[in-house]
Amino acid sequence: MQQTVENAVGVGLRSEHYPHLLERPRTTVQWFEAISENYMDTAGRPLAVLEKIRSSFPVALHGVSLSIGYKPPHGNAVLQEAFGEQRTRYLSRLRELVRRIDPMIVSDHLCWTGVPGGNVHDLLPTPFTDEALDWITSQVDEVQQALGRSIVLENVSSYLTWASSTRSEQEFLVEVARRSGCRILLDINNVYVSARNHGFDAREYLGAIPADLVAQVHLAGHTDCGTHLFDTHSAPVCDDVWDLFAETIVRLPGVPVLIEWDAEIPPFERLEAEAQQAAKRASDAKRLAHRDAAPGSAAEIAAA
Amino acid sequence: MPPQDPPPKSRQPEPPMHSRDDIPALSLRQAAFARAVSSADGIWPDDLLAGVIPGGTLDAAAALAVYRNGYFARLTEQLGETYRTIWRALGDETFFLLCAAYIRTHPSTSYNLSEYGREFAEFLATTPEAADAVFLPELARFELAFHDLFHAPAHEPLDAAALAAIGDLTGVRLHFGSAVRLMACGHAVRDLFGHRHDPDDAEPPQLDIDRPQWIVMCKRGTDVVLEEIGRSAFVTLEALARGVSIDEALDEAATVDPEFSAADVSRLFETIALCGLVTGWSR
Repeated sequence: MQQTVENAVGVGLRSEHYPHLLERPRTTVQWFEAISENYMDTAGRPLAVLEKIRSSFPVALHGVSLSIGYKPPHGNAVLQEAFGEQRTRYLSRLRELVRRIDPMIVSDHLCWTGVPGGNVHDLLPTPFTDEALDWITSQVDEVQQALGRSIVLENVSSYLTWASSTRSEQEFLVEVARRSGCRILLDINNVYVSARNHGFDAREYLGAIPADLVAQVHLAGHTDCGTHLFDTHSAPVCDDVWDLFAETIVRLPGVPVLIEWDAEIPPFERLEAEAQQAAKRASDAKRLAHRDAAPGSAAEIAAA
Repeated sequence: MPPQDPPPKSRQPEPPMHSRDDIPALSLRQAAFARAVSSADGIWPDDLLAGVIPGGTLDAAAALAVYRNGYFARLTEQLGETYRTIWRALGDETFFLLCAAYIRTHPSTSYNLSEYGREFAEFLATTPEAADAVFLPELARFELAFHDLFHAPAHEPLDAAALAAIGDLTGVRLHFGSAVRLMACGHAVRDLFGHRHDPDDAEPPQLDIDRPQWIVMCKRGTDVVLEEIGRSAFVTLEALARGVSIDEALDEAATVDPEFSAADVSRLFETIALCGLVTGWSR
């Protein structure tokens, strides 16, 4: 049955774990995700470590600075040129890294990160408007042509939305993917954080994402600041997010899953345990779904 | 893992490109947002406040402040990473104050966060709050040079045997590798730098900070090698790096130190070999 295809579980590669990983420990972690920008502009130790990891594991490259949603102002030649130069430099470095690492996935975020001359280094929310949709679609197309391969875009956590939005985030994300041919990195923690912050239904959001568009899943922890949830990646995955994951992963056989942990980073063994938890929950959820769908099951009888 | 398919061409947009007349263009909204988030004046433009819907129980200003706080925190963290010794020397409070002042006047212009803070030495040299610690700009230049070398590609150096095989040194010019930095410092910044990873509760090191140091920095493999040398040896290396011949460089060193001896020259060549400074030679 397709539903039993395993979801390979990986973890984010972080410099705190380099010494441990360079000893080539036995690990149940099946793949690693590296932040592209940490390896694009260096010929130093980080790149050497990444190449060493790559010699033993599949690696995904996950960017944070593509800024696919930034649109330079029409008619401003200076900013248009600055934007063009920056994008060209970025893509040339990324292309070189992709050539060296041969990643299984190249991803970034559905967001923007600043303007020429003023990078905010954050995953800033984009308005879900026709203008943004047309622009981002054209940009994904350019990036995919420049890299010679498809890219994958992740939904981000947000603490505000734009009043000018005319679509829901999930509609926008799906439309970008459908139009541009890119696929989706579905961050279930980000869906949960944004759902709580903006009062939408996380299950409705996740249910609106067609399974064939999802190339990867992210899981992470967040922090409850009282006034809002904040995507800190500094804690274990919470129970609500595990529940959403279990409900979602049954629709996504074979889609790789990643645990992110970027602040207050624990020893590798703790991260590995979180990855094992993801693998177990995915396997349990699929077994349950399989049992419920089997001929003569209570669910089938009820449906009949 | 699934193989990657070639990138598909995008479909033509289904709805025509348009936006409502009363909504500012995307680029204008983004410019206003980025400007407000990266400024420290605490003022949010009214049209920006009106254009966003805050999440949770935040109001619009507090929601925007989440992004502004993140901006200052990320850039401060990067400055702390590149200038770890300065952070340690100044302590949290002073270092964070200086960072905030720097960030207010120095926007990040690169997608690469690791590039941020390249003018920190010049900033420290002209900042009254840093005037008491005159070694700070020099220490900042030292740490930036180390940071740059850490990320630089290593060159393939000549080994000791290849250097020894040169034979008669008359008229020989050494070709320095790209991953070499020579730093003449008026303060003992290399000694301070050596304590940057001390535990937080460690006693401050007892250093003669006013002791000048002449430092060779070089990339070997993925490591950065730091070597302190004497002044005349430094003058010789500087001259060699400029491309003058070995005999001319030794003449320059003799003007600084008439006692510069054959033993000193021998030690200098050991340093050249040990640090892997040279990639070739010519006569």
